[in-house]
Amino acid sequence: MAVALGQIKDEREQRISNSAFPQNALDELRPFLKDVRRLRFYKEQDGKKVSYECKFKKDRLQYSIEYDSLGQLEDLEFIITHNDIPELSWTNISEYLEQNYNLRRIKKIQQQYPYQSGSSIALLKNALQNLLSPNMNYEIVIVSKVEKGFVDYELLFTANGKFINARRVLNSKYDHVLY
Amino acid sequence: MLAGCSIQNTTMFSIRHANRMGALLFLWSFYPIFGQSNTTVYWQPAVAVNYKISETYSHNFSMLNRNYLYNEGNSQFNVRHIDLAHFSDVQITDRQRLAIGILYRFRNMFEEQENELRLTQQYNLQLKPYVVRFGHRVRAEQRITNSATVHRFRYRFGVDFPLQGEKLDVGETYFIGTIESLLSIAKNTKPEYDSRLSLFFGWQMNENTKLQLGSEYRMEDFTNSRETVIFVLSSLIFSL
Repeated sequence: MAVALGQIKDEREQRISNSAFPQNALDELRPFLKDVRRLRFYKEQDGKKVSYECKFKKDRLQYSIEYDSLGQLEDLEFIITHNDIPELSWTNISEYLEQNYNLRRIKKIQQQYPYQSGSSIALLKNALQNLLSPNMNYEIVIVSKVEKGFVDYELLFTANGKFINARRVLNSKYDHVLY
Repeated sequence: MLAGCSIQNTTMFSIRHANRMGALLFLWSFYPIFGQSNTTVYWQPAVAVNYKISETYSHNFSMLNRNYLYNEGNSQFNVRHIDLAHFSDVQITDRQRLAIGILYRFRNMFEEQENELRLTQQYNLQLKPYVVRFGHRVRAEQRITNSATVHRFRYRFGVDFPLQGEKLDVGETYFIGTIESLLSIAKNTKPEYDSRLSLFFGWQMNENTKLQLGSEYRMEDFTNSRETVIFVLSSLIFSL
């Protein structure tokens, strides 16, 4: 497997009130939160990195906007299905998955708009209109069968379907309702 | 301004929602006591240990005891029985599991009733489209006593989700709700149909320990004698 297996995603998140969200980020988001549903704010810790996430539903799409601890936009993501990905990009992605993983299931696909430079408001505006852009990525969570069991991976691909990186996702123990 | 309204509305909705849930739970717990005459109330504490043999094979050992709190119109505190159970569980896909179990019920030492050996075969399917997890469980059981063997078939639908955020982390709480239908058949007796509804609140105390408190409402043999049983449940779960 040509995957960086050493990278692990072990994210802890807790729901917070809007007042605990970075004020500058909240000011930036405010114009975009009109007519949204299920608005929630979270604080996340992945290793040493702290970030803040705002999640909501708008026009039937589930959005998630991530800021760093200083309130600088990091990315915007929304959940899609593989039918929303251009055919050529999807062919590249599925070929990569087939060649490198014992793929059992695709759990989630997100269209991701990472902030690189320039105006974060312009990025939010484009992303919330779901405009296709060469700078966007696809983040895909899969279930893969490995020798010892089933493992979740989170993979990142470019807009053209070129592999960027992969992280193993650590799931919480869900053994409390089996018996 | 509008965003401010949305934020406030969301918070208000959550509080209202939580209050309604609490009120419903409270009323639901007590309704049958006042509404039915043949009602029994039990307190049932349990301890369970889950341990993994490999990534796809695990064991579960549990011990519980059932105590009368209210029976035949009187409040009381008497032990009814003690159960010892062991399950072996194999994960067949990332969402499906098969398990077999063995349980022994010590009842004779507390009441003039027989002890029971119970064998269980189980299939479990879990679906988690977003935050809420949905679980389907099908069980076949053979309840063996000296006088008879009762075959029982059960289907349970359950939902569970963390109460803070989208993922259950240490120190956070969660909710479980289940509804189950049961059919018991045995030689020379009428089939018995039961229904169960349960609500639990759980707390992930540390990486390996969970505490759950809840109640279960059972409508037993509802085509014949219609007995109502209420459980106050508490369980401590260790994952090794």
